[in-house]
Amino acid sequence: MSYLTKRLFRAILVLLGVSFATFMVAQSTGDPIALLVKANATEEARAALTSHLGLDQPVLVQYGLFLWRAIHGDLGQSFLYNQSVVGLVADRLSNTFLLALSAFAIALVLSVTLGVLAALYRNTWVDAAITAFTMVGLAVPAFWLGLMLILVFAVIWQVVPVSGSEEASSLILPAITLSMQSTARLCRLVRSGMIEVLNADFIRTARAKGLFEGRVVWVHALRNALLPVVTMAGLELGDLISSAVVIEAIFAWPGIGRLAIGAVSSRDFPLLQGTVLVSAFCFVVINLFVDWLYQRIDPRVRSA
Amino acid sequence: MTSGPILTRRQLGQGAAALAILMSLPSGAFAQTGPIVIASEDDVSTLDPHLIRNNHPIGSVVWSVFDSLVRRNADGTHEPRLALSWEQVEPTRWRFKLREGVTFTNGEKFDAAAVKYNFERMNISPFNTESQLWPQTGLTAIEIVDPLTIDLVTSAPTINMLYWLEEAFIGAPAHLKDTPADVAGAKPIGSGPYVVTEWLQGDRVVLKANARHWNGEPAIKDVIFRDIPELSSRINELKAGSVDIAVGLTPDTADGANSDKSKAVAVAGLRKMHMGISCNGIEPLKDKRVRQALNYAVDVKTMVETLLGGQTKPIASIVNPPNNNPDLKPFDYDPEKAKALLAEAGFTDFEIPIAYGRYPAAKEASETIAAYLEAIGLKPKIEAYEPGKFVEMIRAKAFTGIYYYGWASLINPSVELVILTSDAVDNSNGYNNPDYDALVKKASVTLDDGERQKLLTAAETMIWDDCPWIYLWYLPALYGVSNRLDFPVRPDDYVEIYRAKLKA
Repeated sequence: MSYLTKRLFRAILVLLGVSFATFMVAQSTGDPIALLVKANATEEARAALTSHLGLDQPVLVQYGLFLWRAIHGDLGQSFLYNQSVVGLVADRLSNTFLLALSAFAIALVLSVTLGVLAALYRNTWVDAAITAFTMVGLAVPAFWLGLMLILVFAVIWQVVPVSGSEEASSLILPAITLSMQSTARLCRLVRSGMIEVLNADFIRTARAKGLFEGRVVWVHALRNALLPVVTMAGLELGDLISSAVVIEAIFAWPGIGRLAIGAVSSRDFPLLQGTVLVSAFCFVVINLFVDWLYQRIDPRVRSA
Repeated sequence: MTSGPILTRRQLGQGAAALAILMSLPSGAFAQTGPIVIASEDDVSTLDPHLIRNNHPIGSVVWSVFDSLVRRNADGTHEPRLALSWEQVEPTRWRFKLREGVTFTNGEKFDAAAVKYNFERMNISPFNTESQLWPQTGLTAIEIVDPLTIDLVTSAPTINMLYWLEEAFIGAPAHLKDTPADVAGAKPIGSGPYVVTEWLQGDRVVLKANARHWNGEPAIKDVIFRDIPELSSRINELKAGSVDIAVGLTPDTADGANSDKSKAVAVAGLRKMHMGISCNGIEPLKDKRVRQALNYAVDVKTMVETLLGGQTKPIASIVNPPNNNPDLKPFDYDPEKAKALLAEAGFTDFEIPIAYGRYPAAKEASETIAAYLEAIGLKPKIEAYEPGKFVEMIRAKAFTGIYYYGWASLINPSVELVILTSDAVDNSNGYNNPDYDALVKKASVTLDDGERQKLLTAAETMIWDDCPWIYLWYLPALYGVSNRLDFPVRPDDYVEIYRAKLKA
């Protein structure tokens, strides 16, 4: 089996494991009917709803049905919304992706630029300023940063909306907030990678050949310094999707994180399983993509 | 190849100047002429008129888009809506005259058949878990007398028909019949003052005034219900002028809503916060003297002033005003008397579990009460519950000590008292008093207003003294409201936006 086929096989196992774990953990939290209906609903009404939702079946039968339908692209009906989980998740997932990918783009551009600058101007005030920036970026909790950005840019200056998703500019603050931690982490990685590579023999050779410094730094050095960054960036993207949960709440961004929180607190099992499974799927795909990218950048992995 | 700077210094300077101008814009730069925006913590999960899971925001939107036969006013009185008049032609038969010429917004006609279809839909699963009309009124049959007259037949005389009709909303019948339930819940068609024009789930519901509403077009033409889960973001939106009503502020954050654009508005809600005292749990709590001692031990007045910023008041009866017995008064804070009562009952230093779930300030309230109980020699043990688990415990009557709970946003003495009768499904503390049961049951079938009031007052007075709860306070309903808006707040959480007006 080739490297990628092996990874693909493992990915399917991971998804199966996740679906089973989510299903069982959700079931163990208690009876969703208690949260779903009014306190004074009659016993008959409760019983009818229980059987309508299929909750009177043995747990393993429920899981089997869930799996069978999932393979056919049907994740069931949300208890709370009375709508198909696939539709709900698809709507929200695109919003979360938009947010996470915007943050990811900001993080990549900022971290590579700042990281390279810090490495080039090592031990000068530029380096010190960038290092200080990354320290602050790492130390400041995202929710606090979000609230401060809202206060300054949305309440005092009013150049962007406080929250929501109605206008395109609504994306700016949540994306910046979300990107901050990743920017800081990646920036430090780029900096140390670049410092190491810039001291390598092949860079000295490149410079000796008379190549432009720009080409030496941005092509020869950066390409080699990026290898650990790619792995890390893959993890960061997954991290961004999960961190989006907090950011979505602060900025009232209608993403999958808020859907998942609602599903947990109301014990909406199908919706909970749907959001977790889809998120897990995204993680797995991102990891597969990183593996593939790894091969492209570093030919040594291909033969491994 | 030379790589010059991407931006000249001059260009940079211009950019900075533009940015500075942008940032120095006065905060009123966004003109307030747009729609009225209401921001709520919770998401509108469905707009099926028969699946109203909460008063706000689902109830508030349903009240705007649908009409009921009768509408409940903020003071509990009944306003004729789709019904013009009603009478109890027999003790078990209510007759309603319906409004003529009303159409649903899809063109369907409103008549007795529409009412019958809607009410019958409420009695089938899953709608019968939320719609309470049938079980609470004992409704057994709906008979169409003529297209504009309908009879509701009950198994026994009921005094609560109007109350439950006020939560029974009428949707366009053919639309409800012909569309699958999930689509009907997403595309609501009613005859109310507004129509839904856009609904982005988890984000906003956009409403437009119904120009053909039988009561005339409402004053506010465009309304948006937004979902903003984070409290500080709701307040920030209010300050930025982009939200007009922020729902669900807390006592410690309400002051944040007082800005040059908005103010905080508090109304003592109708939800009666209390510590339910288990009557089927630990032994000492089965003794009335111990339950009274707990009430004397807690300084509710001080808690209201400090913990809740004085934004509400202690409850003085299990029945909400204006129907309560005015002679009843909150228990005094008297720890000595509490100790004496405990000594008299022979229970002086027992361990007492205190449970709390999800209500605002539940932790703070529980901890303060624990301190008060410690001061009279008890050994309180605080237990925090996940909200879902808490609800399950309530339903199973499984708490053995006391638990922080709220009941309920009602303005109807019969409904309020019935929850503590021994066989009520929502009796959560196992309180069982046959004398009280008898009074409440008798009242519920007594049609003479004066007679019934006497029975209710007797039951109300009896239970107050018997202390099934540590009586606390009305959960304050706190709103942030824009200065451009005249908005009458209700104590029962419904936002009646069709009653709001823009200030001149």
